[in-house]
Amino acid sequence: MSPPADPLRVAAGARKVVTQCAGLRAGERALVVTDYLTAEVGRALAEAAGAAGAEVVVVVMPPRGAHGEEPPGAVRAALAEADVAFIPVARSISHTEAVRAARSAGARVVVMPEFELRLLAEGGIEADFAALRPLVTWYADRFGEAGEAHLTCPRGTDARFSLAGRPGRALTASALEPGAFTPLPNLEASIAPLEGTAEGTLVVDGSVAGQGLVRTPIRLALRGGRAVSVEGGEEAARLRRTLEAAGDEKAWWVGELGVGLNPKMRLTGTLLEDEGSWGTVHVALGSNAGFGGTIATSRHLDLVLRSATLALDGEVVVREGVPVGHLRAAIPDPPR
Amino acid sequence: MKEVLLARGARKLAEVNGRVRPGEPVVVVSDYAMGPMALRVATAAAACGGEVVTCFMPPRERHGQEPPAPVAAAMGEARVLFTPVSVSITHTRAMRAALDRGARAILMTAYTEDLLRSPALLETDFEAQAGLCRRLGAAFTAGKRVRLTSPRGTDLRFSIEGRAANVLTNIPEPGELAPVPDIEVNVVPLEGTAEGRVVVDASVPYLGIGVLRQPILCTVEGGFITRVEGGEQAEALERALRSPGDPNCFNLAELGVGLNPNARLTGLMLEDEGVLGTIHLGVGTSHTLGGRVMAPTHYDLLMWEPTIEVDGRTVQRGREVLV
Repeated sequence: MSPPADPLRVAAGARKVVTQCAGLRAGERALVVTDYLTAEVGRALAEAAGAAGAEVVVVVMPPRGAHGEEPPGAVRAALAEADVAFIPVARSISHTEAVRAARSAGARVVVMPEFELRLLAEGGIEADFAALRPLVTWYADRFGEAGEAHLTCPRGTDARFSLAGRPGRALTASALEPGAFTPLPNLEASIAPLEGTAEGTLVVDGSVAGQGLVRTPIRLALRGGRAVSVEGGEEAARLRRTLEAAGDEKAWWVGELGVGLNPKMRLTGTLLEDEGSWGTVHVALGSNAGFGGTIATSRHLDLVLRSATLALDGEVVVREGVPVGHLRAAIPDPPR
Repeated sequence: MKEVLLARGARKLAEVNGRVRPGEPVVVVSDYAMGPMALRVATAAAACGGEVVTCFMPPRERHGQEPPAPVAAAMGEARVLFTPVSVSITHTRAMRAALDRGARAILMTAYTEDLLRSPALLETDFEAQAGLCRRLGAAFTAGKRVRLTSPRGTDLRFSIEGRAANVLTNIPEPGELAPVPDIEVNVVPLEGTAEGRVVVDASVPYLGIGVLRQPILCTVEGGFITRVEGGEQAEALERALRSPGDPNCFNLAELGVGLNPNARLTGLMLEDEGVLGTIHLGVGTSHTLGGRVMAPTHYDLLMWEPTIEVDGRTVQRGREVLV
């Protein structure tokens, strides 16, 4: 059991989320969507939102059985009426119709999947989001301009993805415009590769969303844009079972390629922290309809690689787990 | 560890009154002043297997103020709705919309721990009382003229021709409200027909008045209360009826019959109005009960030992319902 989070730092983190990340203003309608396991985080955010002068509604639901499962109808209906939505939950609803519909209706959405109170007090939340925004945008622009990505790693990853025509996505820890979306405290640049184009081998040595850190690397074969085999040890077997349990072949399709860019986030085995961890590369299987892809399904599973090398149209942007692309551009190093 | 004592009442609300079934979408609407009560009923509903979504909002500033849009939207998706709120949202468009979509609503405005432990909730066999409620409701619905008398001197007559009774068994069907443990049948008099004298001697469970120390005498003419006499509590009532400056506040809106054999007079609305052996006359708004009058207020005036005749036949005397 970790020690309880410092309440003053929790309150400061909640205030940062509400004011800096969401830009919540007095008189706005704020909705906190949380679940019965994560409700104390919901309460901290609600208090900060109330302190900002917003009209605050809190909606608590049973946690989802898996990341990407649709929330109950009552939650979907509430989300459609929010100006700003904060979503601290044990299991993510980021990639659901409910959240997409809320964004289409103009809501600014800040999601905090697998969140605990201490994540408001320490870790990724401490990064200087404003200073890092240009960096994240730079990587997103490179994704958007690239035709092809080539991913390799010392353990045997060798996969190619076509990106042509797809927009890069910058998750800058801010949702300041109607329809904006950001997972906190994630800083990442990512893209929905063209469906059907991913080919090669992925060796996942970091973590799997919802499962934690990987001790025995998981080897996936990618053919025609989908994972066709999942091999390794116990974690591989568990991943395979999760994919099978989705009961939808689209859960196996490659939906996302991204780079983690939060220097305050470390690879610890939760969906959120790993994906944004500085220098990690992730490939997600499943849903990507919310950021320019065509895969609509109830599952979105991020697979995180530790020490990968990523090249976009031949130019290396991440070298063995270290983002380097930006060093060629006139952007200062991020604070350490 | 008082939660151990409160669990039985919460469970009954979910299981017997709400009839929550496994997998049913349940919405609990509450506000920041009623958190613990919301948690109790949400827990009980979840124990029945319901899929429970709990909403919190700032307390309403006055009874009948609409809930925020996200809460109203959530209510519209409920099969079963519980509303432990500190200020009522019963008479709102959001509630109307939820009921029209088939929700079964358990009303818990200002619910107290005492109510959760009361015999009115725990001892009453709601299913058994339901038959009685329906028979009395049928008598009102079919009836034309009502005469209300009491040993203290009440003598009031009015027409109910064409009016349907509202039967609140506390076990709601889709589209029905249940102010548990207030089991009652009520009917709205035809506007303009009520004439007579009313001696209110039990309670006015509103405005901080509560159990009456001294009876309140009301004169009723042409469907309106035209005079209010008595002591301090009568004065408080009259001030409240005058202060909105709307004559409809004096409209005789409702005859309600309490039908919970275990309810006791405590000054709390949800318990008082169900006390078997009392009736209450509603004053003010009637449109939410099927009448035509809209007013900014609705208060209920309770009296002991009523005798109710419908078309010359006695349907109730004291605690005895004779249909």
